[in-house]
Formats: sequence, C-alpha cells, structure tokens
Amino acid sequence: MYSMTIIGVLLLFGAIGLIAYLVGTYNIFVRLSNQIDKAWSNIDVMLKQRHDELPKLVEVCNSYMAHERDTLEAVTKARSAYDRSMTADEKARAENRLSSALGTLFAVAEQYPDLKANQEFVHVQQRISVLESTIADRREFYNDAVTLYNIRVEQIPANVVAEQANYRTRPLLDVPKGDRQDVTLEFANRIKRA
Amino acid sequence: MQCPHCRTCLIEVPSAQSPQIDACPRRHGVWLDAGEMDLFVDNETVYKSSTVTGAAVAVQTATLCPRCATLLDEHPIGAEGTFACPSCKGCWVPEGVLTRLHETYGRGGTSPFEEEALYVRAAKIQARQDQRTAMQDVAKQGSSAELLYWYVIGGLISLILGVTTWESLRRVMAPSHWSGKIDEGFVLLLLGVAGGIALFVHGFRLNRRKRFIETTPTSTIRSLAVGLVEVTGKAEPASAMLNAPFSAMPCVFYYYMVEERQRHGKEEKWVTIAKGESSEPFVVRDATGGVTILPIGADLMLETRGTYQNTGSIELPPAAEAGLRALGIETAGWLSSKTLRCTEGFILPQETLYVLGTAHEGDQEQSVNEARLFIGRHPDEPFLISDRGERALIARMRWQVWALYYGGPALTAACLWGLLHTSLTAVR
Repeated sequence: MYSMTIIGVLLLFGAIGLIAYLVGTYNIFVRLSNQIDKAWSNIDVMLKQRHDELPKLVEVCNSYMAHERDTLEAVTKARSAYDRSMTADEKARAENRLSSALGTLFAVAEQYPDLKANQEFVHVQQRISVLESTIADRREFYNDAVTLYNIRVEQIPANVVAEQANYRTRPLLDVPKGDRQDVTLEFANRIKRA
Repeated sequence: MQCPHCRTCLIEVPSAQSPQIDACPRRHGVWLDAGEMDLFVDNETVYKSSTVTGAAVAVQTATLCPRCATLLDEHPIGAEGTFACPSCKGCWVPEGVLTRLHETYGRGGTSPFEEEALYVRAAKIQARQDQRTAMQDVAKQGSSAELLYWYVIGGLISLILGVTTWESLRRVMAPSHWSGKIDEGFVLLLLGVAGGIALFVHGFRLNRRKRFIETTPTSTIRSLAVGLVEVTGKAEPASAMLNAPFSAMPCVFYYYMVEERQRHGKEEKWVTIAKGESSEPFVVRDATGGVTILPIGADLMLETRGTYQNTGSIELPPAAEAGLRALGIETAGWLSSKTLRCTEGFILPQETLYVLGTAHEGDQEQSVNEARLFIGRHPDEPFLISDRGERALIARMRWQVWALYYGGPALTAACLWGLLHTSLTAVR
C-alpha cells in the first residue's frame, strides 16, 4: 500500500544525491585547477627571489674568478633569458638552465679557496641554496597537484563531468636533464680538465 | 615553440623524407634544429668557412631561443644574418635568408623544402588549427551549457519525484485517517524520518571534507605558502609542556569532556557539564622545518586516551579529581558524591600528526619558520588535526560517507513506512 511512496522517497534521495555529486565533482575540478595555478605562482615567487640574488653572486665571484668568464657569463645569460621569458613553459625551461649554470658555478667555485672564505659569497650561496631547496619542494608540490588533478580527470565516473566541462589533463614539470646526470662523474671530469 | 618576433606558435611542416621544419605562419622566419641547416647548404665545411664570426666572440641578442629559452647569439653566414642558440645549437633564420643561403651554398639541386612553400604550408596548417580551436571553443561553450542542461534536468527530475512522492502520500492518506494519538512511538518515527534526512545531508558534508583531504597535496614545511595546506610531522611543544587534565600526562595539546549522571524523572542519563581543549600553540616539524599550529577552532580526530568514572565504591583517581578541581567542578553532591565520567585525549611529544589548515602570515613570536607562517583556522576552509595518517583518515571517512549515504535514506524510508503503517487506518 505504501510501497510507491517509499520507492518515491528513495528515488528522490537518489536524484538529490546525483545532483549533489555532479555539483561536487565540478567544484572539485575548479578547486584542483586553481590549486595548480596557485602552485605555479608559488614557484614563480621563489624563482624571482633567487633571481634577485644573482647580481650579488656574480659581483662577488667576478673578483675571484677572472679566468672563469664563461661560467659567469652562462649564469648572466641564463638570468637574462629568464627575464625575457613570458609563458610558464618558457620560465620553466629558463629556470632549468639557470639551475644548471648555478650548479656549474658552485662546483667551479670549489677550486677557489679565497672565494669560499669570502663571507658575502658564503651568505649568498647559502641563501641561493635555501631558495633552490624551496623551489625543488614547490616543484614537487606542483607535480603532486597536477597528478591529483589528472587522476580525477581520468577516473570513472568523474571523467564524464571533466569531459562535459572541458577539463583536460595537464603536463608535469620536467626534471632538468642536468639533474639526471651523474654529478660526481661530471665534477671529476671538470677537475681533470682544469 | 613560439616565433621570436610575433610570439605565434611555430608550425611543424612535415615532410616524407626529411625532419619537420618549424616555420612561422606569419612568415617571420624558420627555426632549424641542430643539423637541419645541412638540408639547405652544401656541407658543414662551406657553412663554417663562410661564417664571419668564426673566431670572434658571439654577440648576444635579446631574442629568446624558441627551443630552450636561452638568449640567441647573432650568427651571420656570409652576408646573411641568422641567430644561433649557444645551448641547443639550433638556428633562427629570418624570412628570405633561407632561400639566399640555399642559392649561395646549396648543393645545386633542389632542397627538400622551398622557403615559399614552407610558409604557405605553415599558413594552411595554422588556418586548420585556428578552425579546430574555434570549433573547440564552441564545443567548450556547448559543454558548459550541456553541463548546466544536465543540472536543470536533474533538478526537474527531483522536482517531479518530489511531487510524485507527495501525491502518492496524499493518495495513501486520502482513504485513511490518523488512527492513533501522538504517542512516543509516533514521535520516535517522526524523529527517525528527520534524522535520516539529516544523516544524508551530513554524509555530503563529510564527503566534502574527505575530498579536501584527498585533493590537497602534502607540503613540506620548508615550502609552505599562504593558503590551504596539508602537512604531516612530529609534534613538539611551542614553549612549556602541558599536562593532560585528568591523567597529568605531559603533552603538547589536550581536549577533555566531563559528563555527570543526572536523573530526569524516572530516567537517568549522562549530561555533559564541561568540555574544552587547550588553546596553547604547538609545533609540527618534518625533515625540512617546523611550523606553529594554533589549534583554536580545529576539528579534532584524535584517539580518546583515557576515561575515568566513579561508580559506587570506586573513586576517581587523584589526578582526575585534581583536574576536576582545577576546572572548578565539585565532585561532592548534596547527599553523596556525584557520578562523573571524565574523558580526555591528548597529543604526546614526537607523535606523528596530520594537519589540514590554512597557513597565515604571523609575527615572529608565533612562527618558528623563516617564512613566518603559522597554521590556523580560516572561516571558509577546513581545519583538521588528526593523529591518524592521511590514508587511514580517508579510509575511515569513506566508510562513514557510504554508511550515511545509504543509512540516511534507509532510516527515513523505514521510519516513514512505520509511521504510515501504524498511524493510518483505512476508512471503509
């Protein structure tokens, strides 16, 4: 006698649940997408801070490393390239080159004891080292954010909402090629050449 | 890759025999990757011998390499100006230069690419891409509209179902009348119907919180930025160690609840007479640094560490009695001692914590990290402190959500059925 009423109530719960699921899933995509944009902005802030430290580093190194003009120029060029870069992709690539140039500079600086003893150099090196660690952490965070987003975009049944709302998977930040190389070996070769 | 002049995306012009050449569809030039110059000039020797800057220092320009974002160097070949990348060894060749290079240094035969044909094909490919993008934009607008359409359809279905249910209920009640009085059973069933709806709604709230946990990546404390963050680490006191109220256990944070057994008419039940938590900040530290947590207003998912109760001849432990006195709660009643139940939970030093909250900028006293950040409550964001790991937390919440999703409607349906069954009598 009351079965139709009960079935109607249950169907009503189901319909409300379905709508709430669709709205919730769409809102998750909005949140995840904004989370990725924010993660990139947070990397950009750190890149700018490191960028501001570079003139001091080059200035202090210049007086000790007159024979390492190429190394210093590589840092200056990479910095200029970062200045010119506009899109996130360009910035990421310029940042990779800058990291690589800085890595070379610090490795070469090991051969200059006077420079290593310079307080200003030590301070700038520490500051850049801290910033680089933070950048590395934030890159990892960015990739985590992108991975969470991409998983949602591809998961069933959320992919239906993603497809309808035109949310597509996003690329991860690449690890610079230099970071994948054997640093010890590279350094050893450089010493041999020197 | 973008054209260094107009920032338009370079178009890859395919060829059956040769590698793809990247050309600007607006005819500003072509990009040749390392080695691709050989397709247009006779050989590397000719190319090098004609390079004016062979031994000179390269002149850096303000133009970015489209391939690797390094600044390009001027690289004249004979009388022709090109731009070389010192990093990836690619070369940007402005419009017209490629043809002249081929005429001067070519092999004499035809090159696999005529420059004019390159630009024409690039422009055609660009036109096709523009058309596709325009169609995608239309599709995107259509998709958003389609999503809205599904929401409206879902809303209409709910409306229809609601009306149908109401109509069904009305028809059931039409040939009936309320048979019974409004007794305790009736009230309980009515509360069950409302409670089922409330559980269903609570399920959505819990699911929202679960999604926040699932979709927020864990940050290292060193890289925290202002906004919603998720961290895990070991707990430490910010200043002096606290003592748990009823066990006097040294801890960094505690919460408590005191209930009293009270008689209401014929019934006895537990009534909460005091509850609270410590408001002192504490620190969570991972391998990269520490951050201060201001626990005021946090949702706590902490294990209950101790429950102390005095029943009959069993008295409360001295530490619990001292704790109650410190809270201003008397244990003695009018004629005999009160029956009290004291519950507490706490966070021990070096215990692993999960914190989801909002990172705020604070003063130096509040913060222990270089970025001067602390984690606290934000009115629009969740704030959760738990002694369980993220996975355990999500697994637990998943079961709760499903129990509420199914249990709520089931309770409502069962109680509604009971209500109709017991309270309606058919009129014959």
